[in-house]
Amino acid sequence: MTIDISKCKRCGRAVVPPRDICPYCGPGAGETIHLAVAGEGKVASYTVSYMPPEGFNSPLLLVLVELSEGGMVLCLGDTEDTSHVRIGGAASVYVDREGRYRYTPQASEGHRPE
Amino acid sequence: MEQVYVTGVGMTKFGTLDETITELAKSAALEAIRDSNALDAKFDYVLVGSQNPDEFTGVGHLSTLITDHLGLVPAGATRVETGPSAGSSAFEEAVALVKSGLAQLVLVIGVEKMSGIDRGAASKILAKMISIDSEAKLGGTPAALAALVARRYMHDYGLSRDDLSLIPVKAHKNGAKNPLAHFREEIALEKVSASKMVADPLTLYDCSPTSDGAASVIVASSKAAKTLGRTDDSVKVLAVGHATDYHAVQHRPCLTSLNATVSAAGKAFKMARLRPEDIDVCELHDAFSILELIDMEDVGLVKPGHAIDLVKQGETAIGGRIPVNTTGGLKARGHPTGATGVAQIRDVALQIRGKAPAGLQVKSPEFALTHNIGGFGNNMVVCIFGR
Repeated sequence: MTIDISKCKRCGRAVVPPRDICPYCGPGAGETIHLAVAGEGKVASYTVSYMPPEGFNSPLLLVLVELSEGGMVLCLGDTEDTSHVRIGGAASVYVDREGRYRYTPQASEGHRPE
Repeated sequence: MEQVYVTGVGMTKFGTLDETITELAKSAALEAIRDSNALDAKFDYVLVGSQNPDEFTGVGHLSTLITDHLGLVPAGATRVETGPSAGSSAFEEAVALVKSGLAQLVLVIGVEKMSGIDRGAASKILAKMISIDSEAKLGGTPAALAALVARRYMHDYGLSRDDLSLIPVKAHKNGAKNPLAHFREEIALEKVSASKMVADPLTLYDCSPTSDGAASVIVASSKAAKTLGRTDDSVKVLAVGHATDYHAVQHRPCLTSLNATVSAAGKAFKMARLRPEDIDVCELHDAFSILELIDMEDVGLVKPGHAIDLVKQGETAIGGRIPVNTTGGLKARGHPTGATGVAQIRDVALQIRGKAPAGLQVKSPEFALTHNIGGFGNNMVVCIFGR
């Protein structure tokens, strides 16, 4: 299970989802390098949203994950159990069938996307 | 460079109102025109700041329509849109037009009418300012993004829930004395944490409302201010700074500071040749309680993590060293998005003129600052004013 990121040839910063132009350096840095990474990282912040927009169930766990390669990505979490989520906690990111980023706590190795 | 003045101001009540968007804009504009002695003046431009009148109200071509209804044809008319900082951006354009010599007298109106559609539909329109791919697609909302920021700020700086509640409590205390505010009742500290959870840790009282309302200011060259006989009661525009940040929160290098504010404020202070400690009163964009603390730090009033110290010492209250959001802020004055920036400018202009509502006047302020956010933590406009 990997996720796609881009890295800037000039500043080396990672961006998820990948971009052709580095948002930090601009077009002068040339096209970025696209690569697939494991999606391991740690929790930068999180919230349980009780007033999500139409089409989403409340409560909704949103987790901001900082990847080991650098770069952050906002993910949907499993709202069944939010007690394990904490800033700095281990996190694993995958992309679900609808193309959305998903958070799982790295500890639960058995957890696999449907 | 041409010195630019605010020669007059006007504002409607903010709240859930019966008037149409055109009536609101007209009412605020007429008050500003009268305040400027400009009933028979020739306006070069009418600039309207409004976030999304087409979708909120179904009314399009707003700047042309309002110019006609005010009897100001053939003034040039433009609508400016930068999300909820549209009002400040319209003001910025007016200042640029006068400074460049393209105009002598410009009418600026900020307006939004948000209550005509149901809350879900309004939230959907507002959510268009966040990243579709990285945030909205997951069910993210501006409140949820503010919650991510709030939780990280609390984690990094040890800010407590009760400390954060001091912000809406102060907002309502000031709003209670502002006759035009959306909310005019004081609230108890406990009510903030006990109110409905919106996005943990933020509750309903941490979030500004959606409102209807309009505000207006007249921007004039020194020659035009003289012609109007308004040189004594005009306020000087000392600086405007405007900056963006990366659209999605996940692409920003820091969660507890909004770099667009740092950039915009830096430009403004340089232009005004002033420092943050020179400011006597300010209006900061507190769409969510946590933002008032972060805004204070990013504008440079206090070091990161220490804004709450000033709040606890009463320094940001009326009578404190640096009063913040004297008329209730977005939380209590209300937040008709496109109108907010112009209302902030109107309120600090009244502070400088010594005409703030009873109980809200800061003692003879010399310099004032406004800070208006145009997305979630993005597209900021900072303005500085003086006597």
